[in-house]
Amino acid sequence: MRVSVTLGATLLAGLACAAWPAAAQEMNLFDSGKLLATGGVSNLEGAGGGGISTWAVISGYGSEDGIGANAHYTYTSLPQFQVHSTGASVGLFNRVELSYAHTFFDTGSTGPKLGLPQGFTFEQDVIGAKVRLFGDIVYDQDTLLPQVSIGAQYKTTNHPDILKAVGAKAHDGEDYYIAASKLFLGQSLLVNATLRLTKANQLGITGFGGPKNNGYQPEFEGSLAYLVTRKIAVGGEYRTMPSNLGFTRSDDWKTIYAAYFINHNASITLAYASLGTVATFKNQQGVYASLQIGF
Amino acid sequence: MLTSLIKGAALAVLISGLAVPAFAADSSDLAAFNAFGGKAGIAKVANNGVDQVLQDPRIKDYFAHADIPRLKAALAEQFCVLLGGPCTYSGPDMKSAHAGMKLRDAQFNALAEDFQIAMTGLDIPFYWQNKLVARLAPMERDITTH
Repeated sequence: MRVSVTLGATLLAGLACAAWPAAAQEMNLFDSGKLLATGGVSNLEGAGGGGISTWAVISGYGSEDGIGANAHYTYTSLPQFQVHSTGASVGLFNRVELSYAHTFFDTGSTGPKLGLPQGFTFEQDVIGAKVRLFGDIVYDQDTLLPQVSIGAQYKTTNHPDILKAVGAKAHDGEDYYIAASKLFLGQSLLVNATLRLTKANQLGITGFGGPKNNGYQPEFEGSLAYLVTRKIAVGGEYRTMPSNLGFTRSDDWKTIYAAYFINHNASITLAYASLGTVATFKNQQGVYASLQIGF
Repeated sequence: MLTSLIKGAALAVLISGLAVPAFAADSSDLAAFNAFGGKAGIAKVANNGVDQVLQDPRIKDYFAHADIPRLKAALAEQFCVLLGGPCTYSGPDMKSAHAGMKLRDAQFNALAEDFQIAMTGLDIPFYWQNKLVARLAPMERDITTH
């Protein structure tokens, strides 16, 4: 009995392995049917976009008939901190994007200066959903209409006791945004603008809300990308954020970056990021490197 | 057999279709036309682009029965018009040429990518490639079926 069950399961698994790729190919479900780079890359919060900005694009290379997916690892080295971000996203039929990111904010040897243990690390989960409302970034070249998407993210950060001690009102919260992306292909220029309603202190790493403010505030994310070749884009980003906490200020974040799209399965992004004051430490500038694998 | 024949012929006609005049380049500005190397350069793009398509497993079957030399010539004319060159194109409009083919974005994009590869192979600067692609891109609405 047990043998036959095992055999049956093995056979089923074998059949599934043999049949799935063939079926997928026939249906072109994993079609990688978008043009290179048009899915953007995975940003720090796991959403399709740049490094710190969110775009209206749907992550991955699935066309209107396909499913795309990505996994990413991003490392940011700041003078006082190190940030590791991992995550995955799925794009469904160029319409819906579901994403997950897990961020490690490592205070390293800076921890003790903040009254925290050596190497103390905040960790954050971000679950996101984005829906493309209208417009197409590639085809709408004869109109000024951008591609527009809306999205929501649920973020939760560990160590709620410490976050509360520094003044944050909550260790979790939701963001809501509307993003517009316009590709001026004749000029080889991509322009993105996003309006975000948030309470998050520096993406939520230092909690949500604070003594200065505990309401939703509109914040802006903008970015430009110049398409150098089919595989290389360079650009810059700007992101404002609320300054809710009393013990430290928050500054606007900026990056300049270059992204290399090796093919439909891999891309590398390198950036210089300037995050201003982070947890009382000024001039947090450093290198951002991100690897993305997907289809 | 008959279906694929019709498909091949229709696609051949389709991609050599006439551009919407409103999106054609200002004919007084020959910068893009010249960046492609004039008519001779554009003919190379059409030639190499189609050759690239014929090697592309994603879409080559659509061209199995196409009249390739005629297709290349028609595309060269179309691109010339789109780049503001001194050419005329006398094919059918995109919508009727693609009627019933049920092409989707994935096929449209695959063809665009093949031509990007061909243009890069011919050392046409990406900036100028994009001038052409920008004028082809809105044709997606007429070429594909949604």
